Amino acid sequence: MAAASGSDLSSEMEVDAFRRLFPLCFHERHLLKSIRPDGRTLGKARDTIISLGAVTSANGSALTKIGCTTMLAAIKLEVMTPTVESPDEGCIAIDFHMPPICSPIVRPGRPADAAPVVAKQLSDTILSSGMIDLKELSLVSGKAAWMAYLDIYCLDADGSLFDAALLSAVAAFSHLQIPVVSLNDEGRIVLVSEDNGGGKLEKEPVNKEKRKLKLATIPFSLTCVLHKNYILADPTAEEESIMETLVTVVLDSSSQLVSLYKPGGPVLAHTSAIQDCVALTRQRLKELQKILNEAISDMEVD
Amino acid sequence: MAGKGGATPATYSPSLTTVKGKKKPPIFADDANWVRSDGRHFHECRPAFLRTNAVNSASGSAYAEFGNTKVIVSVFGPRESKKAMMYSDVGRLNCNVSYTTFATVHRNQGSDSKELSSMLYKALEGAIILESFPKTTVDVFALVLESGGSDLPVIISCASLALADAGILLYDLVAAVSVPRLQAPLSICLRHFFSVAFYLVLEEVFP
Repeated sequence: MAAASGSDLSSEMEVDAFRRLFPLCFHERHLLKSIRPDGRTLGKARDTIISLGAVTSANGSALTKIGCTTMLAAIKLEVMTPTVESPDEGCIAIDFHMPPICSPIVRPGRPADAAPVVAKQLSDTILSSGMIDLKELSLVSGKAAWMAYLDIYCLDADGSLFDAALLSAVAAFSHLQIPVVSLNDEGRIVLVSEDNGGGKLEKEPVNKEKRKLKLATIPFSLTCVLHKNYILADPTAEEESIMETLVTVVLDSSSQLVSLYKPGGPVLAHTSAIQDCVALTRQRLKELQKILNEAISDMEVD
Repeated sequence: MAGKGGATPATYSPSLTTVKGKKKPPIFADDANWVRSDGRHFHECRPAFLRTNAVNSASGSAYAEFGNTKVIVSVFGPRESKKAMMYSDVGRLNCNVSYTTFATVHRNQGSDSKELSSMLYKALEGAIILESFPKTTVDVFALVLESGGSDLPVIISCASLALADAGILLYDLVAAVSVPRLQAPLSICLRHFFSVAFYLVLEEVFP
């Protein structure tokens, strides 16, 4: 009924008004022509930009933009005592924040519904993908290890929050440089500053030079939204709110499946729809690998 | 916190400033021609980078970078006031300032700063024509991405830009500067006086 009344009025009212009053009808009109309101085809993701080293006070950082969705990830390293069960391993603490600046639905006292969901998804995906070997974060076996605090802030929320957040986390880890430290007389780990690097050191430095983490395999993701028989890749916030069925696929660098996430929704998907989503993710994986490698090589040139 | 199994273990930053017994060298000198650590004289401000429309989801927004201090401010509104609020025939202003966990040299908890939020409110309330949006609220949210000193003036300047970008009616833009006074007598000259409304933060500094 809404569709019928929509089409009656569409010739009489402005496009913007029609878009606000009958959003589903507006989008379906576009889908019939295999296009979306911003001009993309159904399987195409938005322009993606990665910029490394955005935060100077952090050990590793990255700013990513997928369309208008902007995420800033920063890693700060602190020293902790490793647990008794794993004396050779460090730890990673992942936190995702949606500050009030990012979206009109977030208020200072009322955090967004999506924030803890994305935080948990991110934490599970990164830790289970095998990207980071925690043994690389060890300093002195049984006594000191690195605790990497990864904080991701959403600066602008326009759909596909998980994709942008995962990409920024991965980019921040590839930018991370572990500083040179040594163990001082009191048993504390201290940074070796450049001033007394040539002179006498209290103890032998624990690691000789600033090093980067070896990332075994890098996970990339794509979120798709399902509506009737259509699959739309990389939805905007408007599309996500109208067509509520989301499917997120995470693949690693060798196109193996790390995670598949479909949290309910009005559309029940056949196997063929899921396979299409995985195929779209495989294409996106190649694009993202290229963009990330370009960003890393740009940093190294500088 | 330390010693609780399963809870976040206590961690410390390996930076040299956390080591006890090391005294920081004084940064002030008695010489009248003393130059600051980044090469600036007393009355020089850092070069500024300002951009509007940083955040697409907001009614208006701005990004400001003064040296290492980076701030994003979003303005939402005028929008419906909370149902609990009484009727008001002038508009309401709601300000909130928060820091990221990586904004300072040592990782902090990243909570809201109530003090800065109320100071931002006091700075902006005089410049906004509240009568132009009765019964509704304008929300100004600031996020400090990196704190390189003089945070409040940068937040205020960035917030006025964001309000202008949102199309909120203003009497004028608000510019702000922070002037620490050392014990030696100084003459400060505010050279770039581009607006009538300004907010001056005066502090006593004891070396």
